[in-house]
Formats: sequence, structure tokens, C-alpha cells
Amino acid sequence: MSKPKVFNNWITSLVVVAVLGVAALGVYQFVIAPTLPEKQYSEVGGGEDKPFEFPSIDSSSCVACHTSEAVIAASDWGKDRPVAENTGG
Amino acid sequence: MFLVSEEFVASTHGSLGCITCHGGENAPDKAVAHTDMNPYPSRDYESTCSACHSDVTGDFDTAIHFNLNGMANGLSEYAGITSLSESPHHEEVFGNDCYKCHATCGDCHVSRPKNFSNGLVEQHTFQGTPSMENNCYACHNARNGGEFMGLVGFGSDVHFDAGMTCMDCHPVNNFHGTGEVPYDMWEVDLPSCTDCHTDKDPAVATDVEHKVHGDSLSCQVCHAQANNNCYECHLDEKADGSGLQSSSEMKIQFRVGYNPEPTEERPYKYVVLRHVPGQESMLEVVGENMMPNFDQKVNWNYSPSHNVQKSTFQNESCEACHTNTRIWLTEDDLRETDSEANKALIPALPPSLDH
Repeated sequence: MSKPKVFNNWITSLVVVAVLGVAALGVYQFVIAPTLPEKQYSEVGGGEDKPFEFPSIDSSSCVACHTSEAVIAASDWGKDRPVAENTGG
Repeated sequence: MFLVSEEFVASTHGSLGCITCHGGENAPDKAVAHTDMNPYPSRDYESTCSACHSDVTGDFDTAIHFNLNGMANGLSEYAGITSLSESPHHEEVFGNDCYKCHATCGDCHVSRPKNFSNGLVEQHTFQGTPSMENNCYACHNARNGGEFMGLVGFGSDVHFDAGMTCMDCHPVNNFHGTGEVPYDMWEVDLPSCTDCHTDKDPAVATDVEHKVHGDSLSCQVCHAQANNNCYECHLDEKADGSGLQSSSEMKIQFRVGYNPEPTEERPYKYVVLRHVPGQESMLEVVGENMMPNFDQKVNWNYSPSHNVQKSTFQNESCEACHTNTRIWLTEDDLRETDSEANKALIPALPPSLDH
């Protein structure tokens, strides 16, 4: 099979390869990429330099009681347990 | 005990809302609010903590604080099986009554461990580094933790006196796991005295004491104080039928014997020993002949005593150790309820200094 005439000159060859490359990149960027699903990142970190996206659930009633010294002091939950117990460990 | 601070509510964890981790209902009525509420959400850490901290929790199931492999494998050895899964009864007993001691994320970073006492350490503020007094000591109080802090035995550890805590020596992977499943704690990458005291490594030491003894003694033989030993450990049903409870007799002693299991990391011939809880009839409350292999496994174990001092009664002079017959394990120390295997730990008397 004979070689296309444009490849007879090395400069022309280079230009053709460059044009084809740019065209392929353009097709990927503007035609193929938009149809791909968004990449999923696992949620890690939460530090100041990392995004923190975790659903918050309204717990205002919990907070109202558990930040009240009077309410907690009146509760008997857990008071049957000693403050410190020798676990034998 | 369950008072939560405003600072916590405003923090990153607090902004998630209590219900996100604990479940329950956002209702003013206490009973309704606590319906299906989970006070220990990190027991299922993969559904809670891992959502953000998977970089930390990823190996936690390989950590002995979580899986209690040392206890499980120790029971298996006494039972004469290679794994608790070979005996559904042993597995059930371990799951119901032993495994409850395993640590969750919250047991170290939020509250005191459930088996020690209830209550939040810092009004629910998450502690990046756990509190030695509230968390480590909570489970390790009768032996290494209590001895380190001078609350068990005669005196505290010189490192505690200098203001050090458990985490100054134990790297975080001792708690979070490495991905490798250790058989017991001895397979964990534990700290060594020579990590810091490099000049006392027998290979390079220039002082006569460390040169002469080389690797034949563990550091504790010369530098530890008496430790806490438990005898006649027995399990009984709790009065309310909610499970088992243990009871034992404790005794502060100092005994040196042969190393039960020399390894590359701990090649010593002589080590400080500790009588650990356990006797053949210990589990009779849950079944007969639960530990048929009892006499094959020692119950005087290698003691990594955490109450070291530079100067101790046994390192005052050569004679203080070499001619001190009271510190060496003898037949008289062995009880009828002890394992026959202990006899192999009784050392010949130390070399005479007369030559």
C-alpha cells in the first residue's frame, strides 16, 4: 500500500498528526466527557481543608435537654452504675 | 453524666445533629425522643465514624482493642481448639461475656468505656488523643494502667512521674490496627525501652550492667517493681442474670522466671512473671470441661510491667538479685489450681558471684 502524499514531507506529517490530535481531544472534551457519570469520591476527612458534606438531622429537642444541667441532673439514667469500677483488666 | 456542652453542639460533629449518629426522634417527650435511640453508635462504626474517618477506621477490625484476639486465642488454647469458631459453645460464651470488653471509637474518643462507668469525658467533645485517666486506665486499671499511674502496687512508673502518658510510647496503630491481624498483643508492634534508651541496647551499651546481662534479662527484671497478680479467678452469674462477672484474689508480688515464649523481639532467658486470671474450673458456670488443655499452657505469663524505675531493690547491687531467693519463682509459688506447665518456668538459681 502506498503512503499518502502528505506524509512525503516531515513537516506536513507533523502538522497532520497535530491537527488530528487536537481534533480527538476536542471530541472527547465536548462530546464524550459530558455524557460520562460524575466521579464519586468517598467521604473522608472533614478537616478544615477538606469539604464536609454529611447530612445534618434536626435534633433541637435533644440539644435542648442535653445542654441543660437541670434536666440532666434530674435524670436517673445510668446512675445505677458506679462512676469508677475496677474492671480487673 | 450526659450533659453536652454548647461548644460541642457548635462543632463539626455537633452540627451533624444528635439523631444522625444516635437515632431516636426529635421530640420534646423523653420517651418518644429515646425510641430506638442508640447510646453507642460507634459500635457499628462502619455506619457512623467510617463515613468520614475511613482513613482511620479502615483497619480497626484488625486491632486487638476491637477484636480481642489475644483473649479469644488464649481461651482457644486452654480449650484445646485452634479457633473459637470450632466450638459454638465457647464462641457463644466469649461473645456474650468476654467480647463486651472490646473498645469502640467512642470508648476512647468520647466517653468512658461502658464497662468502667457511664459518662462523657468532655461533655461529648471528641478527644483526638484519648485521656489516659478516663479511657486507658478505665480498662487497664488492675494491671499495667494502674501500675503505671501508681494506683496499684507500690509506686508509679518513672515515665508517668515525668509526665508521660500511654500515647507517648504506644503508636496510634497499637489502637487502630495495621491491617495485619495479630494473634495476640505480642504480635503487635509494641514499643521497646531501647526505642528511646538506645544507649542501653546490649549490642552497643558500654556500662557493665547492660553489657554483662545482654539479652538474657528483660528490662523489667532489673527495673520493674512488684506487680499485681490475680489468683483463683472465677466467673459467676450476676445477681440480675444479665451475664457473668469475675472475681479473683489479688496479690502484689515480684517473681522472676524463665521466659515462657522467647521470640526474636523478646529473646530473654529471664523475665518478670505475672500470675494471670485463670484456672481450670474458671468457666464451670457455663459448662463442664471448658478448658481441657489448661495444663498445657502457663498461667504465670511474661509481664510487661509498667512500673519501672531506674533504681529498684533488686538492682541495688549484684547480691540484691543474685543471692535474693525471694524474687525467683519457686515450687512454693505454684498452687493446686495452677497449670502444670508453670513448672517449666521455675528457674535454676542465678549464678553464684563467688567465682
